[in-house]
Amino acid sequence: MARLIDMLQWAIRGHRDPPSGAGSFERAEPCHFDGLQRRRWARPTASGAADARAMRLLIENLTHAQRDQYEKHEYFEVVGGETGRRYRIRRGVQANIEQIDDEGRLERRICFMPDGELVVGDVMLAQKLALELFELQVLAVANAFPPFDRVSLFNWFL
Amino acid sequence: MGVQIVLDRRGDSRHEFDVSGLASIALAEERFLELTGKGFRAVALGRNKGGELLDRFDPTVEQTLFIPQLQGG
Repeated sequence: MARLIDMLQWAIRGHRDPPSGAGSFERAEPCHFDGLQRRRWARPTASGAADARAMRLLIENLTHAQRDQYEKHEYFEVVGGETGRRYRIRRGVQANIEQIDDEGRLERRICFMPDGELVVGDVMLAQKLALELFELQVLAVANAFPPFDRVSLFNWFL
Repeated sequence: MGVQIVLDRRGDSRHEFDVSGLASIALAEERFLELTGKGFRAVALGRNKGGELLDRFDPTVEQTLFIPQLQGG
């Protein structure tokens, strides 16, 4: 029962890592990872010039394969520089990273972003470089969520 | 010519420096130390396919990107 409660707390509140027994939960500001919140955090109010500039910088620093992926799906994949795990970075500034398995199935959602209310392209570039260059350090501060949102969890629980 | 790119609310701010000028390099190094001192990460863009984390100023890097401190969301 305690384990189930841990899992539910992890799912609802978010935490850096899944509970491995009796976990503690200190994170005060968890990600909102449902679609509505993601759209809200997409910062559509950023100036067009800043947005365009940031997107250009992002695109310049993607591989050809990542650019193609981004054009088709509005996400691109990166490989963690230290663990070799695969991540999918979706367009957005919060709760937009997914850890996926070898088949491309969602394993968990991850949330971290740079300070300073950056525009979308800059956030995505920072996330990409962080996962490629100092993955473990950034995962240590990131919040992680199970691969389902609160609504589906609620439905499942009922 | 080297360029330091700092991610910020305007997209980014770019600071160019002359790699053959001592004063210009000194200024670029000062900016590097100031930003990394504030928690920014410096990445040499284009190195090793994607980028390379820099732990010290390197005037031979053509493009250095400064990423603000990262936090969990």
